[in-house]
Amino acid sequence: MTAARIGIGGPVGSGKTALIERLLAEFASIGIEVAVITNDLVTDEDAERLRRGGQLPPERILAVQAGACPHTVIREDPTLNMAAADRLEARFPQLQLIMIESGGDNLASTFSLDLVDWWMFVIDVAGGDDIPRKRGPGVLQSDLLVVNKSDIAPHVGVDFDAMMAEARAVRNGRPALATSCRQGSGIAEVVEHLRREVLFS
Amino acid sequence: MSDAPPRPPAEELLLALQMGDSAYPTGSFGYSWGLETLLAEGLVTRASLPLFAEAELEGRWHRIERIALAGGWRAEDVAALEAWDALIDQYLWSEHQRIHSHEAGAATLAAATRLSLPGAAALREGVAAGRMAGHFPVVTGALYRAAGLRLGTALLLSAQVFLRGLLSVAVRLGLAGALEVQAIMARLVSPLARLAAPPPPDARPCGFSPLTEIAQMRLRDTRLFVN
Repeated sequence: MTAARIGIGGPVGSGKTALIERLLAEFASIGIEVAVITNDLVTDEDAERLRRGGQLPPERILAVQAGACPHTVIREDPTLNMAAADRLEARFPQLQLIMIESGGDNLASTFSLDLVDWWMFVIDVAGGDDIPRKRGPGVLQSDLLVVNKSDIAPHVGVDFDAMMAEARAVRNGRPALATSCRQGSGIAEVVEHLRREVLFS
Repeated sequence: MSDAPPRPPAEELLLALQMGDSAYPTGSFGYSWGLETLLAEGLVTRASLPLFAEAELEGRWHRIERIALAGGWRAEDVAALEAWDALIDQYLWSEHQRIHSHEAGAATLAAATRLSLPGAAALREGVAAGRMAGHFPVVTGALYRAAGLRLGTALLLSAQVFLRGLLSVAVRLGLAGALEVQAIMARLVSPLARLAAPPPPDARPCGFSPLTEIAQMRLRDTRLFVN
C-alpha cells in the first residue's frame, strides 16, 4: 500500500502544528495510520513538539531542514521531503497518511504535486482579515483553505463571517473551513473532508 | 552501469546545463557541509570566503568527491558500483559526513527514479536492499554516465555544482551578495577546470578539510541546513 501524502502549509504562527496535533488525535480514534514530516526553518521545534505530545511514536516524526529556502523544499526541489516520506513508507508499510508540514512562510508558498497528492493552506484571523483579498497562491490554489483561530476574531477586530465569505469568494468554489485548534472546533469537518477527498474512506 | 549512446557535443552540453542547474532537483540545496557552523562562529568571513571556497574545492571536492564520483562513473555494472560505494564508505571517517552523504544520495535517487533516469531504479533498489549505502558522489557519477555524460564533463559539472552550492549557502545566510559570489566563481574557473581532471582509476580518496569535517560534527541546534 502507498500512503497518501498531504501538505500543510501557511504563514508562521497560523496554527499548522496545532492543527496537526488535533488531527493526530482524531486519526488515532478512527484507526488511521499516520506519520508526519516537519520542515522547520531554523530548528526542529515542530518535530520536537509533536514528539513531546506523544500522539505518535517518535520514529514516525521526521524533521527536514529547509536550507533557508522554505519554498524550495516543498516546491522547486522537494527531493529531501520525498526521500523522507520514502523512508517512512519503507519502515512503516502500514501507513495510510503522511502529513508534510511546511516550515512556515508567506502567502506565496505552494506544494509541488510531485511531493503531495493534496494540500491545505492554514491562515489565521490574527494575521489580518485582508489575507484572502491578497490572493496569494496558497490561498487560491490549495485544495483546502483553513482559517484558524476563529475564537479570537472579536479580539483582533476581525469580522469572521465576512472573512470566511471573502475567502470562499476568491477561491472560486474551492472549499474553505473555519477552525479553532485551541477550542477544538471545526476539526471534525477537516477530518471528514480529508477522509472523503484523500483517504476515500 | 550500462553505457548510454554517445551524445553529440551540443546535446551533452545541454544535458550538463540541465543537470547542473540549481533548478534540477537533487536536494543538495539543504546541505551546507559545515559552512553554516563556520559562518556562525566567525571561522569563515566575507573576506575569507573566496579562499575558503577554493580550499574546499581542492581539499574536499578534488581529493574526495572527485575520486568518489569518477569511480561511480567508471563502474561497469551494479556489482562494481556497490563495491566502490563500500570502499568510499570506509574512507569517510566522519560519521556525520558519512550519514549525510547517504541521505543526499537517497534524495538524489528519489528524484532520479521519479524522473526515470537510466539506471536510477536499479541503484535505488540496491540502496533499499542494503547492498550499498548510496554515497552522493558515487550515485551522481553513475547517473551522469547513464545519462550520457563523458567522465570529463561529469567531473566539470560536479565541481561546478559543488562550488555553486557552497557559495549559494553563503548567499542564503546573508554573508555574501548574489553578484559577489558570481565574481568568485568567475575567478575560480581556471582552478576548477584544472582540479576537475579525471583521476587515475587506482586513485583513492585522501582529502584534508579539517575545518568543515569538524564543523559537520558540531551541528548547531538552531540551524537552517541539514549540516
